Amino acid sequence: MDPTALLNANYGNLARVLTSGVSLWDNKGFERTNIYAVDNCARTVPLNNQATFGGQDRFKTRRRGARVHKMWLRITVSAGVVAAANRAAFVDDLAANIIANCRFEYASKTLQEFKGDQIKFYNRLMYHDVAREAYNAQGYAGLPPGAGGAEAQREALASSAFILYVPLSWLWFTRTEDYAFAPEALTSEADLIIDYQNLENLVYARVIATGATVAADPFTTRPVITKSELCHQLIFTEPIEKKGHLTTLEKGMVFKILDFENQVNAPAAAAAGVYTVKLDNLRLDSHFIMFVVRSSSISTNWAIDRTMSDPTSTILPGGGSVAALQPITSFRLLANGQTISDVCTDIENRAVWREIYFPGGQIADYVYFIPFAWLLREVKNVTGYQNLANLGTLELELTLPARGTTSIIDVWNVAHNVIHKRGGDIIKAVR
Amino acid sequence: MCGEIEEWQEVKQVDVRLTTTGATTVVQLPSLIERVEQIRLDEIQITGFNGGASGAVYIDFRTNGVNSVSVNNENRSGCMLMIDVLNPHTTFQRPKILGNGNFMTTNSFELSIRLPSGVPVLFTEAALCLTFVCRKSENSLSEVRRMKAAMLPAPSIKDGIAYNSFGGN
Repeated sequence: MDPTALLNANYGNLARVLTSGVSLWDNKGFERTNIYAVDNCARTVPLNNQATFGGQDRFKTRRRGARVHKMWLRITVSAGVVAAANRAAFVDDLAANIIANCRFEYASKTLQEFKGDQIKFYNRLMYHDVAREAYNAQGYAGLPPGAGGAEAQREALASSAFILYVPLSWLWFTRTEDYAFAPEALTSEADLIIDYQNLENLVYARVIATGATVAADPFTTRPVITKSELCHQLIFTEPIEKKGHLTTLEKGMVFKILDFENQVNAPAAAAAGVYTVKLDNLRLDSHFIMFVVRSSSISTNWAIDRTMSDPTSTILPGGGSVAALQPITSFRLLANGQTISDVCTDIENRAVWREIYFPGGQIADYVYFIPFAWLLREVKNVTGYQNLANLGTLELELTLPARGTTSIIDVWNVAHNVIHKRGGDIIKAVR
Repeated sequence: MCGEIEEWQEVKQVDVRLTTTGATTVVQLPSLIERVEQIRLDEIQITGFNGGASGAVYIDFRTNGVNSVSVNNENRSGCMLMIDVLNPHTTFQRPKILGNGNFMTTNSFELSIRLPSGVPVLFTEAALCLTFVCRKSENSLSEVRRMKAAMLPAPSIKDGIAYNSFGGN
């Protein structure tokens, strides 16, 4: 059964009061019917030896009698030693940028995967920074370049040991309690596989004497990941309730999830003009399309901050911007030569559209979106979709101003998908 | 598995040529490949490899829902290849498995070829012959077509009245 069908009964407290004899003074809602205990201190370590930057760690979710809900990584990084001739700083929002790829697998089938920068841009649309203090503290985020302390913290980080917390809040079972993952209902164990970003893309560095980007290694001793732990919540339910869960999962249960489709790495020259990106990888039912234009220097070692929009001069020698994101002039969306979304300018998208679809958000970052539904912040209760395969030849037409470097255009379809758990197996419906 | 194709599978041959560097490249195909179950590397030729120094590299294939299935003691992502600069062309008797998928559909993927240090390897040209092993579509199996043709229309409920093969009520 689709659990969203029960959503009103489970969470709509007012509906329960209006349609039944339940007293307002009763304990009501989820807690009344589902007694559970939560253990926040479960930790697992990767199989085999610990990977460092650029490597890959595999974590097992053991088959045990509790459901897994929130998940986060606790990463311990050793102190680096920056060469005397250089200065270096970690990029902003390390928690997002350190994840080159994260995927959740069962029996060699990928159920859900994401890249850290996708999540960063998604969250910049979803939330305002004032609501993200806890995240910023966990992940060394919200530290823009420039004098005044914020970037100095990131520079200090390059030569000090620290612990970083990375919330894995894109995975479907971490999003709502009734979606919690039941490893006991599977025949085997599920894997969480993390690819860490290379250190070269997580640190930008300058030569003190010249202010130039460091060509070789700016460190005499590199910081390394010494320990990585997968922390998770375990939800323990009473035996009768648990048996009920397992019976439901044995019969089959469907979870609506959000997924990413990628159309990345489209090139654009540095000159002002109109650039078209063919979106022929995007086929699923779209929640919204999200895109960014970034300097091609994101793939140059030790050069810039991969997900930064703020062009304020860096405090490192040489000054100048370390921002990667570049503003557009305007965009259109075309299908089979017809206009689907007519000219929308930079500020129209970041101010007007964002205020309509993500009220109370921020406009600073150069992250653009094309919505196909209301309630875009909701995972399960969105109001609509647009199937992109049905649109035929889909093209994103960007008008870009002149830029100092060539650019890379990344487009993502935030798409609807379905996870189906049944009879000891779990699969994703559409790929 | 030695590169067999089962009777419920079909294959698409995909050839990829990369130049200069093994840094992550997005390869776009002019064809949509559906229901992919496995990606195999049958042949590879790398010229001008790593300044003339032979050695092992990790080749990493990625697209939505397909990822490398290899595991290694160095915690690198990808499948290891041994490149001998004196014999740059290799045909694998047992094709290397670059990734497993589950009915994945794609027309683009990311490829990278990196040294064990994680640094993209430099070369003049890397030519790869890949086999995409796909599950046949339901209707391309003659047994399924025959079975479907033999099936009687099942009664269904329409406007509250059960449809039957006698027509009328």
